[in-house]
Amino acid sequence: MNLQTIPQSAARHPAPLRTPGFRFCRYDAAAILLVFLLAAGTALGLYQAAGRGLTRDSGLEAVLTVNGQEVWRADISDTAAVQTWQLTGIDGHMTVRAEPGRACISYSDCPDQVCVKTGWLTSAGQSAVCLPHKAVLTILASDRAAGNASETSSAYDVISR
Amino acid sequence: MRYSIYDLTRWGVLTALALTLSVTESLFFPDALLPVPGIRLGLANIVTLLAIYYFGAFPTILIVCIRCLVTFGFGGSLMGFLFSLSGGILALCIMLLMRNSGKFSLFGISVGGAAAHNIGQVLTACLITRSWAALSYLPGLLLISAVTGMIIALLAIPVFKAVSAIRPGGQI
Repeated sequence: MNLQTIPQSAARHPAPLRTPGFRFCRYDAAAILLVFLLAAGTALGLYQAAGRGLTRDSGLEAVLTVNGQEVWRADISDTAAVQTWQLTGIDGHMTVRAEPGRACISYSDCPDQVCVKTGWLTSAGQSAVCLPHKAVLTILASDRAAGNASETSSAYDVISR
Repeated sequence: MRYSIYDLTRWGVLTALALTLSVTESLFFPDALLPVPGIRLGLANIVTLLAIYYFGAFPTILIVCIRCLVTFGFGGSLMGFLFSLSGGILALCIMLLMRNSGKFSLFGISVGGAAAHNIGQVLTACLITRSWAALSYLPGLLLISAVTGMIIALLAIPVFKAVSAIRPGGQI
């Protein structure tokens, strides 16, 4: 191959040659504004969806779903007891912890640890997601009055898929 | 359309560059250090930006797909593969549309790509978990993507200038 083939070949398939602008223009500002609006809209939408039916004396609940199915629900209102719950039967193990006013995924053997690093969830609408286990821990506003919802559905300890 | 060995070589070099950048990034900013789960600087996006301007749509799709495949092949998880692929493809589509509109500078395109990348990832997470809960990560990720997108654009400008200095016609 001689050197001449290179420019020829390049000329045969000219790439779309529009060099980009290097100066921040008002369309860029509009794009960034749109990103901010999208962020605010998502946050607001989630807050609205989670707070539906929230009254002054309604409590909070932590709900754990795996593969879209609810497997565990705990009352986390101010008077609730501290609970930990181990999820087995998925590909690995996971421990969920519920305390008055907050809940978290305290342990997971997944590789990315995103769910554990999300930390404590304290308000309605917040979620911790563990993708490898397809598990989601969400805080919801409970429709029952605070204090009388201490029972949890502990029918599952092995989740079969 | 036929492509020459020369084209393939250029795409291969850029793919290798993208892989190098994403490995470098995970070395310097390991996931354990980051406060918010799932954020990345997205250095490999510099390569995507270069490719959509100098090569066009089809080679860029190839570069993004091969980058994801190779990362997956060398010890990535399946989730990570699905994530980077869905995010990468959505980002690519948005950036191509923004480029074709001709209205945006490198800054707007880079921010759009970063935001689209996060949106694609969160939507994949929603699909995998079959719930909308993963959306709660989106506001934070979008705010950060505006910042990282600007940083990536700033880093990409010298690369674009260097490339057009080598070949004034604009070819790499």
